[in-house]
Amino acid sequence: MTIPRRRITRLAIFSALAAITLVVAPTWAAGKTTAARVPDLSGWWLVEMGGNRPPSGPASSSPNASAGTRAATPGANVSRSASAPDARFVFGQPPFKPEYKELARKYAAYEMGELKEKPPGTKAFKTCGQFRFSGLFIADAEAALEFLTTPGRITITDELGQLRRIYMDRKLSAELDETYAGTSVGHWEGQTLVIETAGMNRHNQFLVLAGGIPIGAGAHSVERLSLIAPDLLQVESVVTAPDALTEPYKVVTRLRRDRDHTPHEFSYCNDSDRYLDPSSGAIFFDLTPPGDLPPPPK
Amino acid sequence: MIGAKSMTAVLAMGLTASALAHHSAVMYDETKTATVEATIAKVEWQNPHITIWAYVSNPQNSEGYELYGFQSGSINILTRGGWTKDTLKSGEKVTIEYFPLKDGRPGGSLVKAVHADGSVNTGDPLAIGFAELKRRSAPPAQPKSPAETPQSEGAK
Repeated sequence: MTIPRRRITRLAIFSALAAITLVVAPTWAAGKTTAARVPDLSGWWLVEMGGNRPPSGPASSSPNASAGTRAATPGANVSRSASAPDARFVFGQPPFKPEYKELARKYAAYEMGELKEKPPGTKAFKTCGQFRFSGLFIADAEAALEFLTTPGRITITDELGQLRRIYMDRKLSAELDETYAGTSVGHWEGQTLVIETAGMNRHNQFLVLAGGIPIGAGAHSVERLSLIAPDLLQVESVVTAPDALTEPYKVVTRLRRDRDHTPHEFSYCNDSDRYLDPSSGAIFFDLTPPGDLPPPPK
Repeated sequence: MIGAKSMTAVLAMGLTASALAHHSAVMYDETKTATVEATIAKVEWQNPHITIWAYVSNPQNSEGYELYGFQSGSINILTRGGWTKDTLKSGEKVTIEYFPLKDGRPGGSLVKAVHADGSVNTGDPLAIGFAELKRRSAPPAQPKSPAETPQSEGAK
């Protein structure tokens, strides 16, 4: 008895499909399992004012390198809210090269009104401008942020309007155009999200606001994000800036999750801000009364 | 007290709180505070700073009052401290403590507003003067034994 050729073909196709199913299905299932183990970063995250710690000096691979050595004091105790943030949000002094240290000193004097002219090479505060990433995780301690996860990418955005695209499916290219946000790639090391960023614009201010000091060419950062409690995210940032710094600069920041946070648009692009001249960036306090004030009490 | 030069040193050393505030506080005298009894006229509830307008009694003024303006922080940071846009209502009588403007105009940077019921709302905690004020008002630290003192403290 002979088996028809058509039947043999069908059997072959069926066998091949069965084999593929046996091989691929467990892999797919395992992939799903791996993905499910990645920490959940959903919700809004607010910078822990009292929980931030200064850099530990030279970069260290240990997340606990400087734990508690100069921890900030608890929050204000006079507010109606028990969760009032603390003012002592200290980054400490970046390890500037001597010429940058002098620039920082002059810029601080300019900020305090002791120098009339802005030191050459520094940037005055801009009332309105695109987010510029300088290697430190947060753009502004006041702006709550969130992580948006889509296939192959995690996007970090916040109330200030920063937008950082973290590509999870590629490596950093050796040739990068300089951009304000830089180019970021990420991967998971166990439960830790590791973000590497390069290609930052050399004129980005070292600290996003009022830092004044440019980071220079070739800056590079590595951020390691890990949940140290269900709603507490620790971010360890290490910035390398060969023009400006003598050694890597490390900052540890903590953010607390608030799923009920009501976001507020936070913009400096406000023509009616009374504290900065939008044309010059000069600091002042415009005490021109609004036109709709009620009359004084009798 | 912290003078302008030492403030500069603080800034140069650490790019501290003001590095994250929106601008320097150069127009305010943060070495001292003043206090006024005021009637709230209006709160401009907007980013990046709110402004509080308040009438303060001044018999020398023809109207009997003088208009003061007080700066504070952003909506974002103040709401985290318990503020809402209705925290200070028009017509409400409050006691306001503030860092005065150096140029003598009526107003300054809000330190705190005390309501008639004694409850308090504090100003922008990121203001460097605010941090210094809190440091000065904090109870003195207990003396440490040499064994408890971190080695790095000796270098400060």
